[in-house]
Amino acid sequence: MDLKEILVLISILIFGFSGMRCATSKEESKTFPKNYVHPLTEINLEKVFSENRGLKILEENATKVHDYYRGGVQDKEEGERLLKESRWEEARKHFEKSNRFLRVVLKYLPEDEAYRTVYEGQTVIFLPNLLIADNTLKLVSVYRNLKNLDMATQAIAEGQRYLAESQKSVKTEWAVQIKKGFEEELARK
Amino acid sequence: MATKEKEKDLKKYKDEYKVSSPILIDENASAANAYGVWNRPETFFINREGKIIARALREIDWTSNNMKDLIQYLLKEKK
Repeated sequence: MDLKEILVLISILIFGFSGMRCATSKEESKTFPKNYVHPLTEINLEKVFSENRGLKILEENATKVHDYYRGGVQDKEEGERLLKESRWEEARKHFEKSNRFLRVVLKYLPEDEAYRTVYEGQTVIFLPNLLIADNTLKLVSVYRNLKNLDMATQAIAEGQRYLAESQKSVKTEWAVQIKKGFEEELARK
Repeated sequence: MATKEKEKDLKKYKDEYKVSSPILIDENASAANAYGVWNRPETFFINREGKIIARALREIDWTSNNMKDLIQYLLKEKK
């Protein structure tokens, strides 16, 4: 079977050419002062969503760490949509699934990074700890609406742990907002 | 599909390596992002229905027996 025949039956799409690596200049990675707080205009949920849309990642098809990150973000986006519609049970499933995806990521890449270089010149906002914290804050409200107060209490403690882990590596206004959210939830107890 | 390379570099590469297949320029990495590409090179096999049927996450030796077997398998699956 020749190449032409193969290409009639399947298309082969290759991103990137190994032979070209030396021909292009590498962009410098972004660096920030030690205590720099990334403002919400720079790092926010909508930006994270937009970087991870596209091919839907299914749990059974995820193989690489980035698949799990992408899947975690995609399920989070769905959870957020359902939360706005007060569809608590469905939102719960997506937030919990998102957390499952993101915990796999943390096994291999435990630290948040404001900008992770994925290949030459291409960076993504990489905040698995913060995303779990944000999911868990949303889950507190979901559990309350589902009248599962024990789970809500557990979620506050768990979410705060992930938030603290995120803040060890990256400081963001987004994290400050989440922290405030947990404090408000604690005050409601 | 080239994401960051310049057109003149691509032409040079195409000539130097005698690449006969088309090279597309993915400005702003929109196609790479849509496919969820985080590594380079990354290869997708797409069938006539436009569905992704296989994916390779590293450099491929296209002349290897493994690759020949994979392509034969994919072609049989879709006949």
